[in-house]
Amino acid sequence: MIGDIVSGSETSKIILIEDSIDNSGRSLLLSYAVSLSQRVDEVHILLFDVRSQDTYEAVKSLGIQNIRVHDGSKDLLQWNKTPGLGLHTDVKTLILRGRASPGTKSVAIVIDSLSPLLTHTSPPYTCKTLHGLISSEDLESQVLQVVSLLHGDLHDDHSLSLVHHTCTTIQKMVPVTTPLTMYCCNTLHKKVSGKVIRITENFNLLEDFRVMDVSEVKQVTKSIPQDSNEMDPTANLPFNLSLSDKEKEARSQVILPYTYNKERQDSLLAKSVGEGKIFYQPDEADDFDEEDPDDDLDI
Amino acid sequence: MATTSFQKKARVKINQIAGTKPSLFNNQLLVSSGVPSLDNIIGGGLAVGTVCLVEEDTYGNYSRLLLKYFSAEAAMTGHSLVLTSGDQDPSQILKELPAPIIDDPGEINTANSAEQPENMKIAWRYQHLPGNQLGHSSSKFGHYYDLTKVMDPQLLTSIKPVLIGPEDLERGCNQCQELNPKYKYLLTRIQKEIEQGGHSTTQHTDKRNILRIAVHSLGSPQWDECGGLDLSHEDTDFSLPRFLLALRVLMRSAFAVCLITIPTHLFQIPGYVGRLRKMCDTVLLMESFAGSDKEKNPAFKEYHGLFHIVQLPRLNSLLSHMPDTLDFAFKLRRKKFTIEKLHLLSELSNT
Repeated sequence: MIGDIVSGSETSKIILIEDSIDNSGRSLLLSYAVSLSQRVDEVHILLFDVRSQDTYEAVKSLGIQNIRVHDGSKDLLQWNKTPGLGLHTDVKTLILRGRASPGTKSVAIVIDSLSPLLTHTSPPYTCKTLHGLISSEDLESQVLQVVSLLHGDLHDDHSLSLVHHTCTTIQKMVPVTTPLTMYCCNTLHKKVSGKVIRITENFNLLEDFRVMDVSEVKQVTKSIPQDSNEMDPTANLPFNLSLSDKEKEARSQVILPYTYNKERQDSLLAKSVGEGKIFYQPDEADDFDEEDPDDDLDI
Repeated sequence: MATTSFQKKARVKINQIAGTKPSLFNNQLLVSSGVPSLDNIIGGGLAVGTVCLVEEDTYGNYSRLLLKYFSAEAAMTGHSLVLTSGDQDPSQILKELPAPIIDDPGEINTANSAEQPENMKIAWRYQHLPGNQLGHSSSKFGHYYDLTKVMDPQLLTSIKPVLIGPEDLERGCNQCQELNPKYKYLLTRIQKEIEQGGHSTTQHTDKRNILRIAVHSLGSPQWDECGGLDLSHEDTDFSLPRFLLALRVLMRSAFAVCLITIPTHLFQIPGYVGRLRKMCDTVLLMESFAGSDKEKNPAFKEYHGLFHIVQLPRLNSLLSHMPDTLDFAFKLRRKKFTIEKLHLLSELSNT
């Protein structure tokens, strides 16, 4: 699953990588950036974090042409009034201004990270910014994907739940389960069709940030123990409780007292109101004597 | 019995509004919600002049489906429609409405009876009664839809739906003290629609029509709503309950029905959701099994989620309608979405 999402075979508009101090997600973010650079005309990386200098160095060392880095980490809140990226700048105008070639059709945005935005502004503002980035208005080209990093241990559950509500894929970095792989992440992917997939996978990243060796972590669930040695109570009895075929046939021939009987059915369907009709059907035990018993009386 | 073939001796009203019927229990005017199985559970349909709150499931898919059925029903009965969404363009929702099944219900009846396994030997008197799925609905109230097909856009344009999308909300809202500006804008728009369409009870028109208002995902972060907290994250922001109160006041004096979906799982302030519920009339909660542990539970194998009736209104009476059970579940099949009584399978051996 993670290989599909990174390579783009699974479409997802807003991807969120949630990491923590113990499990870093920055390398996964870079692998997204690399994969996107092959699929879109321009990739814009927005840096807000203090640590994002590492990202900057890594991207520069890769030397990919169509990745453009906007560094906003130096003056986040624009107290020094530096031009360029800050928390409150309109990202789209910035991208438009920095556009090298006018003929770009598709753009992708990678954000490292979303945590300063969530800390300094309200969660609805962050959600609206994310949602606004994906729409193509104000920008002449189509935004294919927005990938952002978020440090899960910096924020409270409420803000995180609001951001999760806005994103279509949430990848949470978790501790690795096997010693063979370097990373492990728990992915929640909301497909366009409405289906929701939740999967935990181990994977490796190569030096050029390609995803390799994806293996799923199977959850060990406690299954209800199948009672395989359930005693069959009819087994060791001195008398026979089962029926042979002939006996079953004989049983089905028995006429039960309230079963379907053609005369009764006809009377019900005829629904004759006002006439009390009595249908008498004698049983074998009944002694149906045609004679009137009162004939014996000699009065 | 959930479905009843009882029909009141109809004295034809002089001004009978299309797509409505009087309730069998009280004299409330009812409107179909679009899903006939839902109508049966909540007492025949949604009462005109009320607000129905649907608490969304975690990923919002099924509540959006209910909204689509509601809007499709508007197109079928010729009611006016106002559709709002903060998350996406409402015209996108309109493009995905299910197409109606135009066959008369008689055909569906015979198809189902052909599937009945064998003649009942002892319970033969019940053989002619309808099975579980078939709801008894008279022809002009409550339609069946096919989810695999999309509704003809011609049918929609004939009712001239009013769409309020996220851009309209951004542009139209002005700063407001008591209320979140976007909610205020929505209220003024709804009030305008009621007056312009002649739906208010104070206006006298020849041909009365019902206004259906469908609000998608109210209170999501796109509406500047921080889960009930105000900007300082200290106090509670009471905009949403105030909006619902004002909306209910508008509804009570108009021939209109409102269906709102709210992602209440995002509100984590204790008691806040309770306030929202008290401000609305009918409250339904959809709990989907997608991505949760309940998906693997064998008792819920056939269903896609649980359907809870949280609240039913007491309109001009002392009692609300009480369904015979409160355990309902919904299932989304390829063509149909139904809400049924939760049946536990008899195969479960260890229960």
